[in-house]
Amino acid sequence: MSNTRQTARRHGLNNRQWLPKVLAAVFPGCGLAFAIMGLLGLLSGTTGDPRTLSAQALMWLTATLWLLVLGTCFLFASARQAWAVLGGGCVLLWGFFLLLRTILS
Amino acid sequence: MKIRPDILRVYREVHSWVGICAGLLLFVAFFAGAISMFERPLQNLTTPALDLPPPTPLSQTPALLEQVFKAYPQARRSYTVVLSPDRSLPGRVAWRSHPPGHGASVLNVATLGSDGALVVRQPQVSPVASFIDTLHQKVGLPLPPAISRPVMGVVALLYGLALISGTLVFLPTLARNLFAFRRIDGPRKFWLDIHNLLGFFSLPFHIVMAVTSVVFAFHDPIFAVQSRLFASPSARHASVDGSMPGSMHAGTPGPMHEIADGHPGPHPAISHDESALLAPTDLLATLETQAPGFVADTLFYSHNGRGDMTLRVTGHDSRYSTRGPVAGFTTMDPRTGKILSADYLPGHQKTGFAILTVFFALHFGSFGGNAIRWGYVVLGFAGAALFYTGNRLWVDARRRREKAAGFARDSLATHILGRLTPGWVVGCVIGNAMILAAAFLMPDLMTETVVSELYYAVFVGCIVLFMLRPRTTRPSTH
Repeated sequence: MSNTRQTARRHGLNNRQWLPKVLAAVFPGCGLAFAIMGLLGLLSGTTGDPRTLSAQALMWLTATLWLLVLGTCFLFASARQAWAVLGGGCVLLWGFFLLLRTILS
Repeated sequence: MKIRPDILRVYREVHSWVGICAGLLLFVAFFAGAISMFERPLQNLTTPALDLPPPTPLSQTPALLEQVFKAYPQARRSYTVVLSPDRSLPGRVAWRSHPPGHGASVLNVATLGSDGALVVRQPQVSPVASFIDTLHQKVGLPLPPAISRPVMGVVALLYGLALISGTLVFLPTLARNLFAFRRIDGPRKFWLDIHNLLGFFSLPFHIVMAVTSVVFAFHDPIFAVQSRLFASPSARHASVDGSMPGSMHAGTPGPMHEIADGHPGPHPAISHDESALLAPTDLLATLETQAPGFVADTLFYSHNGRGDMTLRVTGHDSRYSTRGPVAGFTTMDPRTGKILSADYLPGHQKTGFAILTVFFALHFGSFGGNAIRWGYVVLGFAGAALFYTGNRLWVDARRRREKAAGFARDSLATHILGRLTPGWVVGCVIGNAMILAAAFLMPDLMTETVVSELYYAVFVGCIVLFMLRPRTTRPSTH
């Protein structure tokens, strides 16, 4: 993997690992978007009821974030980097979410 | 604007592959969507007039309702007072009944005859306009709703990806190529210039469409996650059998949603007397003082399952954008006429809801009246043309590459795609034209099944015709 990263640095980006990069955007990327939604939801004190403004605004935000992650995942130098950043970010933010929920409750 | 060449190369590849995967499906979505801008007028034009006396004056609606309830007690559960009757929804009062067995519910409309007797009819509303709308929502594929929704969502994500990548790729040459129109440099440059021109000038429209379609496809799962994360256990239980489905808030209520399908089941205990409800004329008077300028179209009364009557008023206000394709709505107390929720009432929404409504209105073109609607028809057809030119560019580029590699004829994939693209596009256009023509010429024959079979027969037939054309040797490319 470090080889691909070196090649990427030397020859620039390429799409050789497009599938694992896209999968990283689809799965951990989606989890990341949901984690951001979760954190903002806790901070804004939403009930998650679809009739409320906060729930609807968070829903729009989540969909838009996921789309943006999908659009930018090709910029990762390698698939490993994509999974590390998106997967790591996903785990980290969900950790924050659980922590914050315990603190707030 | 400078972008690193390797990034441009990456996004050029992403753009062409995403485009080729979603382009034809998006063509149908945009073509059918453009026609759907005038869904209700088309439905009125293609629905035969019903043999029904003129609608009872609004002031006599209480007397009409009394007769309806006497003859059809189940109508009490949910019914609609129609304020602006047309061919799609004639009469003065409408409700859905459920014939015994598992058949679909039937729409009933009623008015009073000149002798004061109750007249009830079951209108046969032409299914063509709503078929085209469904075609739009299902990106042209005849799939059951449970599958078509996520499929549409995936196509919407690909569409968003194509927009991001396409914009990135075009940005560095924007200043040089925006108004270029190179007819003499050969067909490739010509199609490329048209593609860039259409894409760039309708970019805001496309951004709105991409984001809203992703939301329309995935709002239910996202709300489900929210309910898991945020709701207290008791609230979560309540939201399961909540009185308002989530789609009411985020989805695309069709033109007939005001006649919601009440669940067939045991009659709820009706503890209140209907006479305690405000008469429609009085109700509209209180509405006028609370929300001047709002023109109500329907009053939808329904029992909430706890013995109480709820009232949702749908309507529009020409000065404001609306949440649905043609209407916003408000809930009112049917006894006092007090507005209970103005969250979706045009002109009376709080800032946050008004901002979210703008996204819906920008998808539906439900702002600014008919001028905007015609504008959206043009933008929709332009979008369809954008996807057609994209596919053509893809096929031409592959042909050139194969020719340079020394192939005497197109490879199978290029050949199939070169034929599928015009076949698909022509099939979709002629298919829509045929069902619309049939709706005007033979309105009585049009059932949902006939419309669907006719469209897909024409559509598949065109694709087969284009596929079967003899394979010629390579045309001279420029």
